[in-house]
Amino acid sequence: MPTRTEPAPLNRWWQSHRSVALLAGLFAVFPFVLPYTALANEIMLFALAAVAFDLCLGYSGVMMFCQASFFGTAVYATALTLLHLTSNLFAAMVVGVLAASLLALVVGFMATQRSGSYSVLLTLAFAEMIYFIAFQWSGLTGGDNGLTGIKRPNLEIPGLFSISLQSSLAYYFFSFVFFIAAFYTIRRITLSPFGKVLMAVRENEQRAQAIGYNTRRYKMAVFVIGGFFMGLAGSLYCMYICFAHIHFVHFEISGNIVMMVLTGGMGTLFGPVIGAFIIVLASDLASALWDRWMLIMGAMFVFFVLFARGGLWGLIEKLLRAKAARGKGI
Amino acid sequence: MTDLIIAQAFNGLVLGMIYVLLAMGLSIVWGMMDIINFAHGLFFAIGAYLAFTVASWSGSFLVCLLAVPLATALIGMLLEVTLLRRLYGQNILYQILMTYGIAIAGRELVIMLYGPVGKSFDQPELLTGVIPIAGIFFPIYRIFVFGLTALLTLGMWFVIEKTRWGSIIRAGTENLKMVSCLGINISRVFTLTFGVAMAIAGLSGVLAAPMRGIEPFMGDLILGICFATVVIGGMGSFAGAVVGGLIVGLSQSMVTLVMPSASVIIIFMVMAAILLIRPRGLMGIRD
Amino acid sequence: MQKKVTRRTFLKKSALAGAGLGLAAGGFMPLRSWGAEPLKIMIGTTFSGPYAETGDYVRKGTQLAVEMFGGQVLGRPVEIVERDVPNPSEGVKKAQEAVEKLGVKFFFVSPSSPTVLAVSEYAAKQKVLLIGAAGADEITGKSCNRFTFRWPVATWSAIREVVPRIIDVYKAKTFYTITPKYVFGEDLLRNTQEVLKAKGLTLLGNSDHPMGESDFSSHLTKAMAAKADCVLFLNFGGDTTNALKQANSFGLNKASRIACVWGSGLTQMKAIGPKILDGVIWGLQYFYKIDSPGNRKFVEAFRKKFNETPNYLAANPFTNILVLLQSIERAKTDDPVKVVQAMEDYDYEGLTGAEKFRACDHQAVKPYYTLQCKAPDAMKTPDDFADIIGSSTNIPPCAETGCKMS
Repeated sequence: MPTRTEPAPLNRWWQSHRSVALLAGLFAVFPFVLPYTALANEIMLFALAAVAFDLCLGYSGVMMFCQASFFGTAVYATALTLLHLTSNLFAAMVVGVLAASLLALVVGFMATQRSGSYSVLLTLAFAEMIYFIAFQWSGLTGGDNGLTGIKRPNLEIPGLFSISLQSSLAYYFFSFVFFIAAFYTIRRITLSPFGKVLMAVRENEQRAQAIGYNTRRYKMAVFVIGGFFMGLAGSLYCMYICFAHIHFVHFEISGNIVMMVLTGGMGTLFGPVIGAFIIVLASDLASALWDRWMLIMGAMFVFFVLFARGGLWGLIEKLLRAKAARGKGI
Repeated sequence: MTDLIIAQAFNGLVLGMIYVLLAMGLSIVWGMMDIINFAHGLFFAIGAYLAFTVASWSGSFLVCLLAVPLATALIGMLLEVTLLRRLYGQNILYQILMTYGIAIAGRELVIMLYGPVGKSFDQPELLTGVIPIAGIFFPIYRIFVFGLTALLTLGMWFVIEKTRWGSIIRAGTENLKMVSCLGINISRVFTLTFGVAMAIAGLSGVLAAPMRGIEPFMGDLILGICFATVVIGGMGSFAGAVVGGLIVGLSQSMVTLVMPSASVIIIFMVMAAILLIRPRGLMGIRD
Repeated sequence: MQKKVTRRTFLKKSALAGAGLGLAAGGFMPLRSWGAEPLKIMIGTTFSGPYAETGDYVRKGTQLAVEMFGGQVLGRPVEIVERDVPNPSEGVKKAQEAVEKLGVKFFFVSPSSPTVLAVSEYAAKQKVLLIGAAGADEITGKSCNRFTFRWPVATWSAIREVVPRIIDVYKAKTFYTITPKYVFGEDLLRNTQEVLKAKGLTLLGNSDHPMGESDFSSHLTKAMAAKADCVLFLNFGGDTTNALKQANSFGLNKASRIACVWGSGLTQMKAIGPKILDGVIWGLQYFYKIDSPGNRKFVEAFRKKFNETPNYLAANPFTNILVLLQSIERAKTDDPVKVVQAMEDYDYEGLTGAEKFRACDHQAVKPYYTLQCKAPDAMKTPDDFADIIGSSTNIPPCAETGCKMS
């Protein structure tokens, strides 16, 4: 997080690569400063899902309530691959991510047929369907029992090398590589011409259509990209916790991801990371502090919608910009 | 087998009538004020919890039936005046986010006040027992719920069809701009409408409490079904809420007989299908 | 929007001398007390959802056990770390926190079977000791491991005590079951089917419901239409309480006899009320009327400290924590591997008489009880809901459990 003031507008400063490097630096020290490694892992993987959703909501104006479906489907697909097919790390990840992307394609295809509230409700209907299917199809998913016996594979190419990922710390840095790569990719997407079209769709869909863009196809693409990265988060999460359960396709996960993006600041990419940090940490510290902290979250939600739609990141930005302006003597 | 079908159909009807009450409010608010209220389920829960409190003070279920809807209406109107009002006409996203935030904060507040453990709510002494008809036992309380909700639905129908406020609501659902052009104070109508919707939601909470117990997450649980009901019936349509509620209630109970595992999934499948094929719903006025 | 869970976690220090005064500094600083480092035991239980009543009683039972043991083991104060584990994934996460951040080596988890199974797998990986208080057979069956112990008898044993007793008392020939759809309920159902089949009796039908079901109307309607002699409730906690209350409103007791094979005892009976309970048969792991020296002492101490009569939910952690502390003392170390060895086949005087955890599968050898509730006017005290009408110890032979200790 920036603490010193910059004469140039903050936005431009962050647009350089330094920002990603700073993020990487921050996450590299997390496991050593946070109370325990598993917590850092949790923050990072939810930050990944939140950033992916920010691409949908913040950049493209695509709202959904089925984040958990993508995340959880990847958890299940990864778990089932590891249990029944292969103990190959990358195979399991590819299956997980592909399953989530495929689902996102189907849901996106349907949801983009409608706009506004109808589209959101379609995603909600699919999320509920997937939850109940996962619950009832216990032969496959284990239902309420969940899937146990998942072994975390090691990072290896037989005959060449093998790195153990069994310790929390080793696995953290394995996921870390994917997290930074994913963040960098998503950021590049937002800066690309494609990203500009997404923002145009967000600002005024009719106008974007009038210029000649097939906005529906763009929105579908956003679903798939979002689903891909949420799936990546889910797949990594599955191997981190070595367990799959219907909780991961539950609405609560979706709600939490929405919360992370809104409190952190939508359309900023860095905001959702802060949001994920705060929310995961808060739920962990709830034992020492106040177990009804969600009350504050709910109230903050209302506050942000009313007064600060840029979330925490937006507030920081506003403060810094005001400071910079004063520095210039304006 | 016929015994079972009849008894189960009755269960479905009672369940369906609770959905009807909830869908009515959700549907009117959505149709007229263009707000998808994710806090609707919260008022169902608040209704049930307030009934618990009022019943333990007064010892009378009748007092609950009268006082609780009044209270939820007041809370609803307060919310409308202070928060929701600021979002009219804005991107639907913000309304979803705000009502979702309200739902979370409200649920946590309920847990703070009443604790995370559910409460059980005994049926009123007078309505306990069963009436056997042709070898099937019908619980008196459920018959009462069915009768009361049916009366209430008729009453609401009368209000919407025959009163001035009702005609404003009907007109407002079709064309809000036109209504305000006619010189009607829209913001007062909105406040009142939201209050009535929350009163009905609260009442459905009171009625459901003795049948299913009370717990903090009961609102979250029922919200998804309520959305399905409104979508199936048709957003903004009074008849749609009634038809949708009964369809959802009956299909839930009937599918349970044939294939219990599919009873909820099927509702959301129908919901998705309706959204895709006929977004205005079965009885809706506009897309 | 199915059943939801909240987090409600507690950090509670039961440590007495020397341990106190440590305040968690935002959770970042590991607690350090003057003198010896505390020995930590994590209690993972539920404070919300359908099994919410469990949490409070687990806490009470644990407190009493630590207190009666003297608050110290190996010269170190005992510290209890409480965590809310409403679902299995939360269970694994809290266990990770406890192992990685707090250095906990001993766990007690209750009451959901999936949660115990998930944490058990983690415990074996981390080589920490877990006492899992849940019913599913596989905990000490095919999913057993060296680090997991279990006191309540499995569903296999429970059904083999209760169902024959029900057949006897109710003279029932036909049955209908209402079952929660997860590993615990499925186990109860399978065992019930086996017992009924062996006796040549018929199970007319079964109705599955999710854990935390609120509306039992369709299950009850189906049960009534089946016109069975006896309806067996195979659920637990708040689910059973809800189901029985609704069963009463549907008049189920007019059509069939009612039995619940896995009760949690007194608090549950109080929540349901004696009028509805009149004549109902219950299967229980523990009841305060058990006549043994260990139990008399426990009931007296519990009543004195908490001013109420203990139930199974409190008795289970009480006896387990006590045996755990004794085993740590006997092992003279907090090394879980050594403590596991000390606990295996250790004969102790428990709440139900002489008990021990078998070495072959880590299942406690103890009886299961059948009770029948009284008419409201036959109750002599407010706690006098039922009398024990039978008990037996049925533990499957080691070779048949499916447990292979690694």
